[in-house]
Amino acid sequence: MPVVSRLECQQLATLARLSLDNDEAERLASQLGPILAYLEQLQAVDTTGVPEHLPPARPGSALRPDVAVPPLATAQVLANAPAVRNDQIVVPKFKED
Amino acid sequence: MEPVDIVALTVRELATHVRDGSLRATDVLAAFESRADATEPAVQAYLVRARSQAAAAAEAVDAARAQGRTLGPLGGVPLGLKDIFVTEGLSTRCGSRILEGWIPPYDGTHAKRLRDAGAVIMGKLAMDEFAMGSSSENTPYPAAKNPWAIDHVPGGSSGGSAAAVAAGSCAASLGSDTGGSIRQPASFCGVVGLKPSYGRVSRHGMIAFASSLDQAGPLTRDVRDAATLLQVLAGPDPHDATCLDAPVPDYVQACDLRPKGLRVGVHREALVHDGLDPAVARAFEQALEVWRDAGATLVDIELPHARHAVATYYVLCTAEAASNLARYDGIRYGHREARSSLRETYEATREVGLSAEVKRRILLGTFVLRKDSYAAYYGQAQKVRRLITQDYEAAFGRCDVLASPTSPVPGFRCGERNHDPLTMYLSDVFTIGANLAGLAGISLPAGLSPATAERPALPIGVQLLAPSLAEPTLLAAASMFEDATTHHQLRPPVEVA
Repeated sequence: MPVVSRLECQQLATLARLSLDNDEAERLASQLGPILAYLEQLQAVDTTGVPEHLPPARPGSALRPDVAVPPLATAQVLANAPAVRNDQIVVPKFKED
Repeated sequence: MEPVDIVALTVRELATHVRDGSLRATDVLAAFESRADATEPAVQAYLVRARSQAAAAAEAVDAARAQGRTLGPLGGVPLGLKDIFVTEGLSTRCGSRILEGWIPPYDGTHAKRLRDAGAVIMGKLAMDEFAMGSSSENTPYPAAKNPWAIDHVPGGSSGGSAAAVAAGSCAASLGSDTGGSIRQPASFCGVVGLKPSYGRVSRHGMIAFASSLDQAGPLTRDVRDAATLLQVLAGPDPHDATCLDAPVPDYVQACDLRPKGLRVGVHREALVHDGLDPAVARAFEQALEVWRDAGATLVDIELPHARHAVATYYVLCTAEAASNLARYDGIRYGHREARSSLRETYEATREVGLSAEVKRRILLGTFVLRKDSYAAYYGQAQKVRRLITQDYEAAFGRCDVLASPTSPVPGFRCGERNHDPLTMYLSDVFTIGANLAGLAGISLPAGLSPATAERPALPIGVQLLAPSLAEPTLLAAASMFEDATTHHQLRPPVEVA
């Protein structure tokens, strides 16, 4: 059975932008092990020469005409933003000086 | 004229009464609001009631009729929408704290088409967070209960949608189905749940969980009501490129078709299942007899890769969920945990905003998409998905519809299974194939389990699957069963306040 260590769980969390405390990482790691063990059955399936699944291209699934339509008004978009200043969404600093 | 029991009427009857003026939309709404007031303290199907919006919509229907305008096919019919559907001016949280406070500035295609058809939206229905779950318990908000036994789950993830229809607190509802989330709760609550073929109904405005699997559909009291709602929802949508531009046949009329020599396929091997409840097995065999007595032929079919469906599904749906849920970062909408750096803001927002099952699936999805594990997990699952799809194509060469139980068990007790995620995942065994292969599926009430010292009488569902876009055949075969049985007329002994 694949064992997922707390450290590996923390690394996955970092990739997924989740912060886990040690207890939560420990608990999730212990749950992921049996789930991954179950998923491992797929590796025993013979898929030689089988392409990956893609939904069949159908004549009916077409793109819409490339015509500009009016977007939502700025005020409507900003109404749901957690922090707004001067008609712009406020974000924390993301670049070093 | 005898006073009409409004909340007992079907969608079709309600629309007819409102259209011919024998009932006003406002009176219909008042009856359902009053029913919801009585059942909600116990059932908790609604996350949000939209009383003033619903009242305005019902008044608009009555005004339109008074002005001699033609009403839409759902004119004055009170509906509930799973909280996954985006509704203008009405809270949409997808059962998650991370969308707390979000009031969408637009209607998704589902809400828009239903409103355009005259429906009155009573509110948003409880669900597992981001539709991840089979019991409606994975949510920080009050969990919906099963009207047949309040200490039992209504199924999930569209548990509120099924519970509300069973309790009579709306005439019909809308749910979403990624791996069985319409059909399994329909089965647990004794109502009809229809998952259309992938692409038959738009996904625009249905918050994404796993985009190659998600599909919206109705939960109703009977098959013809499901067809009535599908008629309104189906058809191409310029906002969703995966929505098919295929003709929309008359689904309601299809319910009256009796295809000569209907072949009902049964995958016997799948019924040899450790967890298959004897009451479910019995109800299923009795259901097969109903089709046989109605003139159908039963055909044994093989699905050689079906035993890998659950594993395939949990690789693919977690991978897609990890990608789809990356958008919830606390920046543009929803909840934000403000921190001094962008990265800390993302992490703190997601830490507080997402609950355990969602994090578990994001981590699994991140694992299967990692460079080191991609080929063995995600790539391999996509290949097995192809094999599973080919199995169904071969099976549908020998039968018109495929029958199975919807769930291996009736509804279980609240809290009984939420400590063991893998056991919960395995309960999706009969429903997942339809999502992997993009098929149409429906769950039909098939009777009650016998009441015992350990368990009250609980609904059991039987599932039919049909090829992509074969909804007319699916609905015909479903009506054939429903017309020969009375299971769909049973009503739960819901506790009323």
